[in-house]
Amino acid sequence: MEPRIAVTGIGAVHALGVGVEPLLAALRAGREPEADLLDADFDPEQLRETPKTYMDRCSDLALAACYLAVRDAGLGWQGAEHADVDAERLGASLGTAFGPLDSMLNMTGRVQQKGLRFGSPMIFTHAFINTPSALIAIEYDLRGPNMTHALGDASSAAALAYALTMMRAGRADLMLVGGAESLAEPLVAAMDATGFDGVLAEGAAILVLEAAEHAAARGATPLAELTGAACLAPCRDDAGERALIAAGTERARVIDAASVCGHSFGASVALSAACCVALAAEAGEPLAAVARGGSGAAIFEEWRA
Amino acid sequence: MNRRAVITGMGVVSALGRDLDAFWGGLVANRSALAPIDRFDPEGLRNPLGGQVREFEFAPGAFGLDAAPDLATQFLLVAAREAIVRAALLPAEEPDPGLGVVLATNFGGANAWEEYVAGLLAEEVRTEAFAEARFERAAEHACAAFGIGGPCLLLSVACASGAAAVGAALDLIRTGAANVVLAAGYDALAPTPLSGLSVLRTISDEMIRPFSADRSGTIFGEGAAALVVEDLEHARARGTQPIAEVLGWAENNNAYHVTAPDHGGAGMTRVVRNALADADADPRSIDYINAHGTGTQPHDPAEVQAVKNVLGARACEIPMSSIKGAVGHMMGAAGAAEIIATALTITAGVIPPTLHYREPDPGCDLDHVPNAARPGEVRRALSISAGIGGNNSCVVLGAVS
Repeated sequence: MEPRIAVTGIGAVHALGVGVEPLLAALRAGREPEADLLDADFDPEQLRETPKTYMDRCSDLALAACYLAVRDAGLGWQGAEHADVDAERLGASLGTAFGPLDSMLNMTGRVQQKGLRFGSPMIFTHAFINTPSALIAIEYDLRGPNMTHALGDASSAAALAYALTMMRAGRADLMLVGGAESLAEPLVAAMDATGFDGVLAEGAAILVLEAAEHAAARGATPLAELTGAACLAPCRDDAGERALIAAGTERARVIDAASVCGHSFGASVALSAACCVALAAEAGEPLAAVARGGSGAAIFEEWRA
Repeated sequence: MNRRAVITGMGVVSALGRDLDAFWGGLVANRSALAPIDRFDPEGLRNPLGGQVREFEFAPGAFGLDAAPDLATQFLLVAAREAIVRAALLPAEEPDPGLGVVLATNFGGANAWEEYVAGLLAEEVRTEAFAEARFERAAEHACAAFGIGGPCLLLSVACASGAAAVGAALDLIRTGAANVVLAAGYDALAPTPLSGLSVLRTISDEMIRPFSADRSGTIFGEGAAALVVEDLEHARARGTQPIAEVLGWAENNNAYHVTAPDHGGAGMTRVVRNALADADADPRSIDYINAHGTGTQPHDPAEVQAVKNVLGARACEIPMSSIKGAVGHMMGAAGAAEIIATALTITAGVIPPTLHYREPDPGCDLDHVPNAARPGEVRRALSISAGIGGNNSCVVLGAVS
């Protein structure tokens, strides 16, 4: 029997602020994102378990969303200190289309302008696209599955689909899952030049996915259930239908966080997913987070014991 | 009962050559393809050596493209086509929802990225270079070229990526999400990653010598390795001869340090143990291990210790070699290429050697098959990978029964 996968906590940082509430308020009010580039306005130092000497903005956003999600789930972790939990059963799955692109630009700029001898080992180490998920593992001592998904707008749908498969196969009891994207300078330059038809924004959202038994054993009340997810070839636009079939349900209402906080590539599905979770109990119907283009999707439903 | 998954096709682009025969033929002939990098000036690196792919030609039209994509993507498309042809998969008219893909890379379109940044420094925004530098671009090209319409993932866990792609493909088969999955790793040598790996001192200033006492670091290579992973019943129904079975896998993170291995190889110990459990395989049934074996001082003994921790006395009875002395460390392609070498070890009965080995090290005291291939009957084998960020992957292969 496969375990049911509950969502027991959510955390988000985005152009409208910190937490999921500002997103929900804007969705309810039907507000549209401002036509300028939107930056998440928060102090990363305040949403971090331990002090850091150097962090790429993308990693800042990812760790801040984790900080909020871990508290929302009532895990009572003090950073890497988590009592009574088997760290090998904890994991992370993060989607990001571009990762720490500012650091990569810094690194490549040095190399091209000064020569191959002048790369910075510190900046390079922080420029891998899997650096944010590795930092999450180190920050929270998550010694189980750890994956980074770089699939454009579908990145965090891939992260959710991957985590759901891993957890249903019993490979982990709890995973921090979501997406992060920063508005790196080279990204903005390319989007401006190609005439991107939307509002660009940075952001991150993390969901605490937990096997139902694991949540029950620690007395946590699930906020919602992740019942299905799909990430398909980029040419496909019907991942929503595939996710519905996987979830065993016929229809779901699509929640699109980008419609209020701007488009943040690899983080967009995760931000929508966090809203789905927050709204699941009152919605009275399944909710869906769908990637721009439709190649990735996840379905959330009210938790029923 | 889980659906079983088998490998039905394989393709490789590596420094040893542009196809699978060149790769395997070179490995068992004890050939090292490491030579000074000449695609860009390696001046300033700790070592000019690299496993560069040479005499490589790419015909965009053969993949439905008007222009050549990023170099790493070219490697990917060529290796993937070889795997698909060898698997005798028929070209799909429409995107096939039963055909999935799992790609894996460290740096994606790294050469297109260099071109994009060169443009920015010249106050010019090269949008096509940026498009090719986007990670998902490789998935778009691969899906369009091969009629893939099923599940799609693009993973990046540094040098553990390629092995994770094969593992994730196994999961897609087991869960019934796809009947056939193209699993592939790819990466190309480029100035920025090489500079970073050099200043981190991961690159040897002398030569890659895995498990040798005088080892001083690794030498990087490039290319792509692709496998067609298929539901066993699906393969049988279409009359295809399976090469090897993918029995199980695991991936994890050390949760310790971004670049250093953890104490005593604890993370690698867990990943090997979990992969064997997933495969429902007794550690004593393993006949061969294809090691990550990078040739760095800290990594190799940690990997040896991890294998001893899980296999116990069996570890000292079986060969464990690293092919990185032949092709270099192929980054995101390494794990997939090493799984291909492992599969061929099973079918060919030949163990590929660890090249450039010179001095026994008390910390690396297993049978590392120094410098010369040798015959060996292998029914079950492990391939281990580890990467920056503390990620580990392990895949268990078996002869098809």
